[in-house]
Amino acid sequence: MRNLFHLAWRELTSMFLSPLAYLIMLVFLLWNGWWFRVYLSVRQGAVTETYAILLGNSLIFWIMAIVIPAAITHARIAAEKKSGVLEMTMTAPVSDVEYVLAKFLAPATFWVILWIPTSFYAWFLSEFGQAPEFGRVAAGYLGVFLVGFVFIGVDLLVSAMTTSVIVSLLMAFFLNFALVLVPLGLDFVSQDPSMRKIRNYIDLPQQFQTFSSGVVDSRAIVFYVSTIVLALFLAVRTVEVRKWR
Amino acid sequence: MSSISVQHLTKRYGTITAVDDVSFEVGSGEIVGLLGPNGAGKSTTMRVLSCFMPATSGSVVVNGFDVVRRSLAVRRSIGYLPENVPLPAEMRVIEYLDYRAKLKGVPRRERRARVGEVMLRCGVRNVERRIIGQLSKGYRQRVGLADALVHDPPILILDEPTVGLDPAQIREVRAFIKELGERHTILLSTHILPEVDLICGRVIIIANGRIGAEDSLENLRRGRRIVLEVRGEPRSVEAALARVRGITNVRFDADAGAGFGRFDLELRDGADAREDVARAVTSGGFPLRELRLETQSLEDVFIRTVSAEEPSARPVRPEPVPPHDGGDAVAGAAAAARGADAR
Repeated sequence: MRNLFHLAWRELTSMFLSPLAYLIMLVFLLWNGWWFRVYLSVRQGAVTETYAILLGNSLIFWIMAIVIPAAITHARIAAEKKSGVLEMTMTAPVSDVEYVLAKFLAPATFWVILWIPTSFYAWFLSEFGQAPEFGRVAAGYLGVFLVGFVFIGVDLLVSAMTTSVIVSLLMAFFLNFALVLVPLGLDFVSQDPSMRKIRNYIDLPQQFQTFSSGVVDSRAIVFYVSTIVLALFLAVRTVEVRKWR
Repeated sequence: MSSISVQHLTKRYGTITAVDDVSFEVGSGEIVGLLGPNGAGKSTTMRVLSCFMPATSGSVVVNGFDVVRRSLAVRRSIGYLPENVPLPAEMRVIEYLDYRAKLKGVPRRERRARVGEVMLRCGVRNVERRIIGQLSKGYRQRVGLADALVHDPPILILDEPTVGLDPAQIREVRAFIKELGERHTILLSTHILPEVDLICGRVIIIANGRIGAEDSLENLRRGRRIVLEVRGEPRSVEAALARVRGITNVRFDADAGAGFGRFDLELRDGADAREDVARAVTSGGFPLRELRLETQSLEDVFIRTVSAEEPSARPVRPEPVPPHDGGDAVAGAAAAARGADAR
């Protein structure tokens, strides 16, 4: 694991070398700031409520959670497979696990960095207005990070499966949508109690509710973390596939 | 100890066999050229050697480590320059080389000096702050070479290192590789014949995934024919020459006028029978006008080997593949390869 840091660092710095990163940050902050302001006035200054909306309790959040991880992750492996940089990396003393973990850590770190400025809202409001409940906000952030990591993990798997950046982008969008919508769709398919139980397990937004209401539920954490681990495990296997063709 | 030892390497992509039962050794300090037409299996062989993909069967040992079991150790001891030199376009030259040095485990204290040294040796010092994506092909090639050298590996594997360069650059890179050969074991692939001539001490000719010939350049080029012009009755001249040692075949080629006939003598590998032939001719009382050893160019060897290895000329064999069947048209070349294996 000696090389993990070097790989992840180069990955992260190269993200910031492209204008896409800054564009995403700009749009993200404008989008979040605008809606935060709107909801703050709609909710008549209920700060913690508004924060909960920002951190997952709204379509505003889910649109970003679907689009941004796909945008920052889809090309990570696919582009290197196509350009041949993968060959350069894998003929240096780097293990497949290190490689995939680094490819995950970079966008995951970016996702966290993206959210850091929004935490200033809390500071600003507690200085000049009403302070939010910090515990609830913190739980909300934990949830936001984990959900983002799930999408990034899944998108990375997609990225490992193709050499076409466009295909991987479309597939990443599609899968992220599916992760959110399929559990909802299951309600229309069947109202059977056992089906409902399954649906509750895999329902990403519903698992998330607990975080935005300030409860750190170990069930949800286990679900998110195991999804991430599974996606990364499959991504490592997919990168290894080149060896067995 | 040999630096690279390849035994019965076979690599299949689905139903296509890219490399078919290839065995060779590269001794420490050698510069060996892997020569073959496009699609012969050179790059595949090199990708197996550099641990990018494993072989379907066979064993490959590099610097004493098995490429499958001790893959990381192998990768630490080689510098690999892939074909087309894929480099991340967004990085600066110095950043990239520093990053590669880190990956390859160059200790922090030596890193700056190492990176500076390889940039100097490869002539990229003047572009160290440039973004790789904006560099010309020649500079990218040099950056790739610098990358291969940055951890000072004992073995260099260079896949078509001069492809896409202009003549001046080709010359420069060749000279540089030759210089590197003083300190590193080098296996390089190419389909450019003069390149092998200029750089390599030994050649492995590979065609259609199989080794067609393998020997030192000197041996490959060694004369294989004597051309003789003698006056006399062809049949009796032939009879006199057939007894000479080292000659495998005597053939009357053409009438050369004035009663002279031109004869073609085929020589056994490595034999030089000029003296004995002259003696046999004069003691037989045949006037001698010309006696000349015809050396073959590497191109002759290459073309002969490659055409002998055309799929149509090769009997279809059932799997599993037996090691070296010598029964086809390349018997001589295969024998040479076997001889090299035994060494």
